[in-house]
Amino acid sequence: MLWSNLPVSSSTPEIHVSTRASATVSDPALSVEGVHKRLGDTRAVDGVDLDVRRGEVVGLLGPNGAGKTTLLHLCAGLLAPDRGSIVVAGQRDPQRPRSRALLGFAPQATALYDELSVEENLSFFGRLHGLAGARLEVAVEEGLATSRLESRRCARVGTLSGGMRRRLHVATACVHAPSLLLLDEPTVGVDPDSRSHILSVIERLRGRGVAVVYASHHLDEIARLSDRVVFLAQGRVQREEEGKTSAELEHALSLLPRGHA
Amino acid sequence: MRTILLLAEKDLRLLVRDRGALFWACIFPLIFATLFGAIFPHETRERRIVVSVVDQARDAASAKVVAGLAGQGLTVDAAPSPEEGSLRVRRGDAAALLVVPAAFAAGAPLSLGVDPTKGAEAAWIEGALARGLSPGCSVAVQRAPIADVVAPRTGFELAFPAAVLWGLIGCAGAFAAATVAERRSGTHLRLRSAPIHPLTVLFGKLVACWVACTVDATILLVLARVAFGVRVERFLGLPVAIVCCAACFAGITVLLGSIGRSEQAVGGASWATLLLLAMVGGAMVPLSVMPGWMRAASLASPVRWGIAVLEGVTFRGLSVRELAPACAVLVGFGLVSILCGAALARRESV
Repeated sequence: MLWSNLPVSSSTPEIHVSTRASATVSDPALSVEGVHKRLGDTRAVDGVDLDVRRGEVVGLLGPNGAGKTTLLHLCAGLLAPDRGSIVVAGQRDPQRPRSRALLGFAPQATALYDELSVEENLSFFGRLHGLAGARLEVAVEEGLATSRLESRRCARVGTLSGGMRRRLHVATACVHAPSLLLLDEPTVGVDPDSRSHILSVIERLRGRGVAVVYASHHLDEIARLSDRVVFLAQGRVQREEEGKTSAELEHALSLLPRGHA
Repeated sequence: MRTILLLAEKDLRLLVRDRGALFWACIFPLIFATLFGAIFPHETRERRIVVSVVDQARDAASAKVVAGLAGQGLTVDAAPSPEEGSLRVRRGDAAALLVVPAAFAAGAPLSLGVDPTKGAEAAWIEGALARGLSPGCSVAVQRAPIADVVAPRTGFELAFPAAVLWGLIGCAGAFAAATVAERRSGTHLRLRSAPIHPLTVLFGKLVACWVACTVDATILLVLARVAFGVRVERFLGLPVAIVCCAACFAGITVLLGSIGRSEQAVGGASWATLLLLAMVGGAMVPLSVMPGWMRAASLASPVRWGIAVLEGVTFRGLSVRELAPACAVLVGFGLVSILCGAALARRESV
């Protein structure tokens, strides 16, 4: 990972954030306009508009089936919208490799290779995003520090605990220093210590100007992390809130309509 | 290309560290070859007698001869030319070659070329020719052995080509299973969200599977030669045969990896398809004991062509030129599979 001033390791060398992005600083990190997506008979995403600024953490809240994961998949370029546009840091069409280079994505499942070691996983995802040589070495070292797995660098991922795997999962998603980080329930099934660590990593990323879209059912996490909370239900943005406590978020969530559109 | 190699390297590491996959790719084929090689003496292989017939006369008299052969329980395999018929005998597809000359009705003798290792079948065919014609009507038959026919010396020479195919099936199954695991674990989503072309993931799998199949087949054939005394008559043709077989099964893996959207669909379809191909292609039951319709169906299985190519370079001693059609079929299977797999993979991101 190339954010050298993250306070996770004091021994990592100073290097610069990736400059591959061709966007200007004034561009939003993510701009979603009028996006629609049908999955079978269901309108999974139904006319969503969303802008995320650099250094902003946007929490996605909503009941199951609200369209959070589908929206993240659309932003990650895994699905093509039926209508509307998605722009990632000035790059239109997130399905194009140039757009994908600017984003990091951590899906709901812990997406790691169990038979590879911790270091090999970090190295693989770094190389997949074009890192090589000294930059790759630095990124892997920082990934190890970020996930607090320096002492387990040669351990196979299949032998790690759930919390360790989750930390590594997040570290591999940002090993290439993306401008936009999409996290789909990154703290599911982890112990409080690992959870707190993952949240602190996200806060540090925000400090470096990374935009984060964070889907979760943990209201306290959303309240702690998010600059803005977007409530999704039936594939639509129902409301947006800023600076709310978890109790206020819970109340707002209870008012949302249920079921599919 | 660098990304394809990166993905292939990752897949090969995963394969090497998966003991179950290694068992199916390397150990099971050895067990198969050892058991079946020891059980089947080669004399029991050809139970049906196939006669390759070249009818140059194409008249009523020649038709009567051909019908007489079929009426005696022999399987008649029409060949377009004496050269092609001779090749079929040398490949072991037929026990003898019967040429009905253009002047047969005017008294020219039939020409019967026989596999010298199959004297009993030759005698049976001569008898059938005599019995199949009208009582009192006799024809002259010139019998001569076909040169360069090589029979398997041991059951291992028959068993190892099939065993290598089982190894390739094991590799293909392992890579299809790896595709399933990637879908289940979510790493497939991570690969698809990476800044690479969607087909790169597929081609990474293709390269990895091709390398694994090539190494697997090479190891098995070296073991066959060193430990079991299997002859390799065509050292030049051997790498060609291995590369073509590996290309075919690597292509099939790409198709299997793209065939369904769920792990259940991919896993089930993979093993069902591979076992069906093995069964029809002669890797479970030798083609020679199969009924006629199943022998015809075996043409649609790459396993059949793979066995033919590997038998050709080992004990049959066929040249690269003679193997070229079967090699082309294998590569064709691979290419068609890749194209279909790529088309299915493109559909996934819609």
